[in-house]
Amino acid sequence: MKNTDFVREAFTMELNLHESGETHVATAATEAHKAEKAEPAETTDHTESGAVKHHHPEVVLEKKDIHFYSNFTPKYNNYFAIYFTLTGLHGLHVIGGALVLTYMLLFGKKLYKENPEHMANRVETVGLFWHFVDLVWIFLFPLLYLM
Amino acid sequence: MSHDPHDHNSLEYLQKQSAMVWKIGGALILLTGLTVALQYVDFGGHTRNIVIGLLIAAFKSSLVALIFMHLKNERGLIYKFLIFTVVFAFGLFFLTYLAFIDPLQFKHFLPGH
Repeated sequence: MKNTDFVREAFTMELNLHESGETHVATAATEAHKAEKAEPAETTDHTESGAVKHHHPEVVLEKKDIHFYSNFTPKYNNYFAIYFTLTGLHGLHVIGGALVLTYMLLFGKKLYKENPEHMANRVETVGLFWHFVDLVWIFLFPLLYLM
Repeated sequence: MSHDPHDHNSLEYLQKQSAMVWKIGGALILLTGLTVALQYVDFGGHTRNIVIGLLIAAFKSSLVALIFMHLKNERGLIYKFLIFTVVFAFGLFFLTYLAFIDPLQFKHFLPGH
């Protein structure tokens, strides 16, 4: 079955109903997949009477009821959840450091004239922060994009 | 202004520092290129490529820490703090092993059990 079949006409979703009452989406299949089940292949699970076993109730969703579907969003994919957490938090740190450095570049002249050592200390501290953020990216970049 | 090269305010010292920063920056860019290039080389297994990539990353980070963050010129107390922090951070990593404990064995602590 082609991947694009998943978004054709309608979804058939098998829901695992657990004791606790919570539901899990187990599989998603098309009408074609459903037809396949009606004429079972070799691998299909049979009862003694020969009927196809239906372990779970089926819920059919119309395509118009589905606003968005993807297996590759942070909600459904561990890798992308971790990826966006790491890169997102790193991005926030970069933005923070860049803002402070820009502030000192634009408005640091006054303090530099009044008390150059005080200003040097500030630059040193923000520099340390900036280089530490850099240090994190040195490891994140190969881990996320190369390996 | 004094001309002692060890004086942190002398022009020579600052010029040397500045040149050093640019050199290290260039080295970091080259090493990044090397990291990318080496990922296309087959060293006999994905694990080896990961190890090589991380070794270059470790070398780059030591350059940043020693020169950009001036650890090279520090001694004593700073290193004690650093070592404590590294050990502590590793301890935090190992807390994730708590995830292997089956939470259901504690369910009688929950209300309604």
